[in-house]
Amino acid sequence: MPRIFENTVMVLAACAVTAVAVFGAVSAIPTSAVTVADASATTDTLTCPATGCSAVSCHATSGGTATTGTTSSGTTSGDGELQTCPATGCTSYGCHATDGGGSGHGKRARTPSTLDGSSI
Amino acid sequence: MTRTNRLLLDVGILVGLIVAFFPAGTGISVHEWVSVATFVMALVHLVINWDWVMRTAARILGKLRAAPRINLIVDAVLFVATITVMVSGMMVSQVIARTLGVTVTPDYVWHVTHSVSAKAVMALTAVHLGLHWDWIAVTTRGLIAKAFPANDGALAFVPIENDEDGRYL
Repeated sequence: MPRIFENTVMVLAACAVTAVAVFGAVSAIPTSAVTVADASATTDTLTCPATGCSAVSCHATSGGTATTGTTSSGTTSGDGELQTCPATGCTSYGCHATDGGGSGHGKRARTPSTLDGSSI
Repeated sequence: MTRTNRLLLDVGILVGLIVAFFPAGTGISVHEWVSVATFVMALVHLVINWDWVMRTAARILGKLRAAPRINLIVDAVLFVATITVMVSGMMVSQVIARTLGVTVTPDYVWHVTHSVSAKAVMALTAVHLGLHWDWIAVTTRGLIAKAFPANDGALAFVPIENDEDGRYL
């Protein structure tokens, strides 16, 4: 086997093994510690918590566990987001913003929704 | 691969990293696609240098000078950081995931992981550049000398080679 192909296989294998390890390690971090949304909030507008946010992402929680959700984006501070409850029995929505390459902060929550397909 | 092409590849990776590091300025779509392209270039870079990696790794516990040992450690951490930023990037992806028809549930932990690993990649890349600065400088000078050959009796560019420890002579 030509050397370049052998090296390519080795590099791809190293990538796969590392990716699986990273995925496993990060997935093992208890999300409840950082994604708990304030279900007592009643605001209707999900606001980008920082000026210049490149994206606002939201997901629904059901019984404290993140479920399937939708993603939308906003580009300026105060952008409103329309979100749809992705599953029956959502208890809250958690949202966070990506500020450039920075971390997501500023979680916003919605009042509990119990209807599949209900929107904010 | 010629030194010229290797240098062009490295410049491409550096430019890609810088562009990808500022998604607020480029938009998410450009950020995601440039990141993927940069990752592919980084893989090619690694494939090209894989023999050095294996050779040095085999001697890491034995008799080995400090320079290649530090190089290998930095490169290994940079590799893990790069994989982490790509995995976390896919987990918070908006454009590429949508293009692939995949529904991604953004998660705060993955956002934080993406942010931290992106900063680590940039910092480690700076260290990586510093450790290989001699090669970059000599190769760049060589390219300039090749593009503008001296015809006034000045010394011509002499190609360099690297020894088995990856040091450029």
